[in-house]
Amino acid sequence: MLDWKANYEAFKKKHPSHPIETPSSSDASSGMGSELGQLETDLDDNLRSIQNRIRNSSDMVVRRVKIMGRRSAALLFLSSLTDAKLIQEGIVAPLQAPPLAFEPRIEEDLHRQVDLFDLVYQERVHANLGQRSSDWDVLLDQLMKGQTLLFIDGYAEAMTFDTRLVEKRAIEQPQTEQVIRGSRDGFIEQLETNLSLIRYRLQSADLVIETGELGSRTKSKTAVCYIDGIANPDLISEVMRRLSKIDIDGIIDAGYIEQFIEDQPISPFPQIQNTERADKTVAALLEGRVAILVDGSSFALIAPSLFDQYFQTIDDYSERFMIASLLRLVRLMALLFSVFFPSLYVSVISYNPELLPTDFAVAISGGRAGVPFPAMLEVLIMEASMEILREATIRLPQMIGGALSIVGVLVIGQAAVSAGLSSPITVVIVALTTIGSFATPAYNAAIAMRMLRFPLIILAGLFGLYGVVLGSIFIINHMLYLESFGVPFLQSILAKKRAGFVDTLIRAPLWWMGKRPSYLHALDDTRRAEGTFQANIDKIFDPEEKADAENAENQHNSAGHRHQ
Amino acid sequence: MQKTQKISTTQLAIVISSTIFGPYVLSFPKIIAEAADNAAPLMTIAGTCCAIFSLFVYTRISQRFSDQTLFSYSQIVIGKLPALLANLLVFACFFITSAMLFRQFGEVLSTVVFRRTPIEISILMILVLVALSCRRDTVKFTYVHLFYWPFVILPFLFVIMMSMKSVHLLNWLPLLGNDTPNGLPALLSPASLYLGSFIITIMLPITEKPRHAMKAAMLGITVSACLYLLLVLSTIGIYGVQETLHLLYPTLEMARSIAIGGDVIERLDAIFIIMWVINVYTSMFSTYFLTSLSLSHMFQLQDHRLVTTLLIPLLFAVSLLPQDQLQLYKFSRIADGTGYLFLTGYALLLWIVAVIRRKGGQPHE
Amino acid sequence: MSKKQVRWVLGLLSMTLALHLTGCWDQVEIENRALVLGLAIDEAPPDTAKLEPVVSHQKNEPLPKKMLRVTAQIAVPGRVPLGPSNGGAGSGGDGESPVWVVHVYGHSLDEALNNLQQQIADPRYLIHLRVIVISKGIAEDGLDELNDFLRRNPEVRRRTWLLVSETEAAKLMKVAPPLERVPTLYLQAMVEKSIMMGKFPPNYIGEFWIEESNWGQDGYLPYVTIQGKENILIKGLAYFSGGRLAGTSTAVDIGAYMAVKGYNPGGYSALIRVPDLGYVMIKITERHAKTDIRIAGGKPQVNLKIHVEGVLDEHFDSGRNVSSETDIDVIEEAFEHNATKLIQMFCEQTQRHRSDIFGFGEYVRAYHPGFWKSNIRQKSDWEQMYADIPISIKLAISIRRTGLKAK
Repeated sequence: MLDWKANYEAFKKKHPSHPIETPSSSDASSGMGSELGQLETDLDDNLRSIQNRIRNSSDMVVRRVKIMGRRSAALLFLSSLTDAKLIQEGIVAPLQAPPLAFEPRIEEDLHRQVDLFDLVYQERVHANLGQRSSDWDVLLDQLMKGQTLLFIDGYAEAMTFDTRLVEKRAIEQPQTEQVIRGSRDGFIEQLETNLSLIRYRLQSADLVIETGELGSRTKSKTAVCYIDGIANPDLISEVMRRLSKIDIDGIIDAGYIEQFIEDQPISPFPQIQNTERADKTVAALLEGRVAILVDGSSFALIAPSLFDQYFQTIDDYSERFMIASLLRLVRLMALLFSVFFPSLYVSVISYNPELLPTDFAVAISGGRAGVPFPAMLEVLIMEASMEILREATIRLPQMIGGALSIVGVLVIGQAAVSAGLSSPITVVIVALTTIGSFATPAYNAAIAMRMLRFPLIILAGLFGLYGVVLGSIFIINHMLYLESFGVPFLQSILAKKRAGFVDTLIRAPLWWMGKRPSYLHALDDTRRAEGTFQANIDKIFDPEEKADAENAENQHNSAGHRHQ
Repeated sequence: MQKTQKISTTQLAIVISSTIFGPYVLSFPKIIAEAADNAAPLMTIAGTCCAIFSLFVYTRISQRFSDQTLFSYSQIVIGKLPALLANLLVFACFFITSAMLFRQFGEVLSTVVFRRTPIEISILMILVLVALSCRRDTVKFTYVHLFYWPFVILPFLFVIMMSMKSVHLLNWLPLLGNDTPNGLPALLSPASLYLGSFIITIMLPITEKPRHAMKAAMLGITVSACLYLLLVLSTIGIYGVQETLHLLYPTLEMARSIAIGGDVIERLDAIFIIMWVINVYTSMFSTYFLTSLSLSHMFQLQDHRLVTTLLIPLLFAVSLLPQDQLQLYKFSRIADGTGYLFLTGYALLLWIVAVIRRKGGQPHE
Repeated sequence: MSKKQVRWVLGLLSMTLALHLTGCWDQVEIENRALVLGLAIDEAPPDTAKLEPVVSHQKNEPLPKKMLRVTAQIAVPGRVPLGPSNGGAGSGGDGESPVWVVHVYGHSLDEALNNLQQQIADPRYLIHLRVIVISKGIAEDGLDELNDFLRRNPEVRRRTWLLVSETEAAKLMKVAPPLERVPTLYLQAMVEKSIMMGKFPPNYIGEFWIEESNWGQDGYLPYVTIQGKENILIKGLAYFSGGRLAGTSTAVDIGAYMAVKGYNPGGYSALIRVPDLGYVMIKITERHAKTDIRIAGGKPQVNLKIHVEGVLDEHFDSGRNVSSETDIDVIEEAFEHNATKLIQMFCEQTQRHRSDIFGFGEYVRAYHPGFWKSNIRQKSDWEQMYADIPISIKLAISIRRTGLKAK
């Protein structure tokens, strides 16, 4: 297993077309300075020195064995991270077993000191890996990862066996991204499980998983996944470069990584997508994006990610395209609602009541007659209490959460109106905004938008519609200037060719989206066989059998094309 | 990670059209009706032809040096010192026009929407916003225009479409006008609307295919010219020339006249003014960008960000100079007219000198 | 001071400045605005100058002699409930009017409104001003100063209604018909619905201004009166000449006017007596008109071609049925005769009053610019000329249907 810096440099070497940046101090950060240095030949010396080094680990076990009853050796492992059964049956038992009768050369081997490690590994032990090292640092690192060390008297080396076994929860449905139609398995905390979820969906040799460690203390295993031949090497090397720059004591969650590798830290908008869904990750990989997973976090990071990705769910692609397009429009509308509605309401009430029809205006002014606050303050109070309720319901135990949320909001809204704290229209507006903001599939994007409405409300209270429009221009400009791994955040709107449009606001039929998004500069940007689009268009107008025949022919042709 | 992005021909056209369509949309029909009576549509077309000629010159000279901006290639063509002087004038031209633009913007707001808010505040807010947006490079500058372009165009199209039904064809006649148009001002006022088309002189270095820049320029100016023409046609058609002369902002009155949804939703002028803020914002953004770029070139700064900040107080002060509305309009029309003549003359001079001295190549891909 | 400190100081300074500057100058909550829904303008009795508070002028300032009495209808927040009124406890049911009617005096409209402001606490706003009623006397004195104020003020809608009242205008502010919650809105709805039914041309204040601005046209306004106790009646057109009220017409003349201008849909019905067939009621459904102007003998000559379509609505007082094509022809002929006479008379009436509400002058300006330029130098020139131009009318009607009754 390698350091990310080494990974990055190795990648650079593989793709030499890019200017190699100064490799800086590559050895400065590796390791924490060797206190122990190399192994001794004497087993007891080795055991003594390691027990000095690791004093307070009650879960460290030293198991002395005699290999085939002759040579003394010792196994070293952490009982908390290892598979006790495997160690007992796969390592200890075979080692202790006496030599079989028809193995005469064993006797000589043991004394002539032909390489005993090779012998043990190849003929006796049932565990995997079998790496050898004489460096204490390496060995300790391995030990801490749940591997078992084998020391043999007379060797200044040790061998490691993979015996790692960590408790893990079952694969469950992702809580944050529910879908109607789509797979039900989500990532869990174990990286290996997550990688297997990806791998079994993407059974291709081109799927590359590069692993490395992050965090000088936690040494969290981090994996970068991409599809070789699709993802742009520039993008991959940029991801690796940014990963290699991370120098932190510990990575607790994927969010830690996100904050270190995003383009613009001072922005409310997420520039890297996170997902709990394996199918979403695979879909992103197929588009030519890069996924980053880390041990201990059930979220994968997807980069680059653009604004419109936060409004897409995986079942958009499973449902019929018209419905899916409509749903996307609904989501966009809900988003606009949640951002602009309260501020527009405030500015209409306090600055431009002429926009309302006259009888309605007279009625509204009646509804507001008892409210002591200006509209801005009233809306701010209601919105703030709504946010408090929302935040509280997340923290509440699940048993009472659901009941409290609905009843609480309704009761409080009703009471606020009868107490004269707010007008009925305000309650309607606040309810609409809150509901609207939950229609956005991505939690982090939704909350960014929801928070942005507060400055807009204040601007509306200070300058009316003028304030709202200036505030919106400011926000939109910020989004226009934002980039995610060099791709403009609103690229799908700004794209030179509107080809990218088929999968943004609307979702065109799958046979229509023949290309990968152009902004990813994928090496192979063709997704579907060349005639697919035409064949499907023909199918609309032609009788079915004929179209089918043509379709087959077309596919045949284009398959030929692809082989060339 | 990515190579410097370049913009396509269509995108260049959008930048040009959104820059041009802006400053005077509210009052233009009145200005032109004053100058040309019933011949207003014809004079608009004539003025546009002048502007197209100027844009043609800007584009041609820029295409000869397609990897440089005006401020660098002018030094090659006419020498360091003369170029510095001329660029100083370019700076002055855009400095004054943008200051006037800010002031006019403030006047509209103070007259129509914010009748009690001090005009200084309205001006300062948009000024700071524009200055903040200018702190990025030309590609980002393009993005801003691309995004807002629909918001610049659509509200006007909507208002024009909604009010089309009350157009009386009689008001367009006679085409040549009941009075003879008074020559130069009638021609100059529509032509100077297109002052912003000068932006093309700094856009070519980031254009993908400078060879096609002429197409983009013509496309851009045509779109905006069509809108201006539609605007003039519909205001004159609805109000007639005599009534248009009575209106300070005829386009705004048009928005005030329409009602949608069975006459339930009226008074769209507040919404219209807001959309118009976006419209003006894009135009201001362009002139401000040009101003700060020219200034930073003069001081030979690598980065124009410092300049954008320094310009805020200066522009603010100048925008407050005119004493009243009438003085403001007189002054800004003089400034625009002379600015237009100067810029066209300057570009023409550069082009002729460049051709004679054989500087710069033919446009290449 | 280090650079960092300077930054902090500057930041603090701009924060305090911003706090001082952000002032919500134009913010007035909707319930704190006195929304003026309707205005009625009457001539004030001669000795009201003493009644007027001295608000916007000095005591001995030379002022116009004429005084106005302005009656404003102001919406009272809370009297109109939000949402559909529930059950019997509707608005006005408890005797409380949703509007408050205030009288003020002033030398001009603006001054009167300033005096009004002096009397009420909330700032008054004209943003929801829907109807302005002026009395006949005011209209006869000219609407210049009124229009000037209304044009300058950005709060006033271009779709406000300006009505001329036969009776005292203030009375219209007081009538409260039970159909609408807010009385002014009833007045507005009445005019607007009559547009929908083809009984009145869409002549908002904005249109009136355009007509008054055009040199070849004069303005007209709806002419209303109060019938009985609480009924409002559109009585006809009040047409202007030289900016002053020149005369009024009857309601049937509105139909004639709309026929000349070709306004659709047709809404008026005509009761005519057809020889041999008794009385016939014809409802007009569509109107098409073509105006043609020729210059003959140094004078413009107007040729109107009007084609209307109608249905037979009612037929009584005769021994026979309308059953054949010839019967229809006879009815058509009778209608054409009557209608032509009506239009002719209306045209003559306006000519007598020098009020070209049809805008024939605009046709002259558009199609004969040479003639126009050499003869017309100001608006009144055309009004003079209009008085004696020949107008010939050709009207044709097609009666398409006669209803469900067969015999």
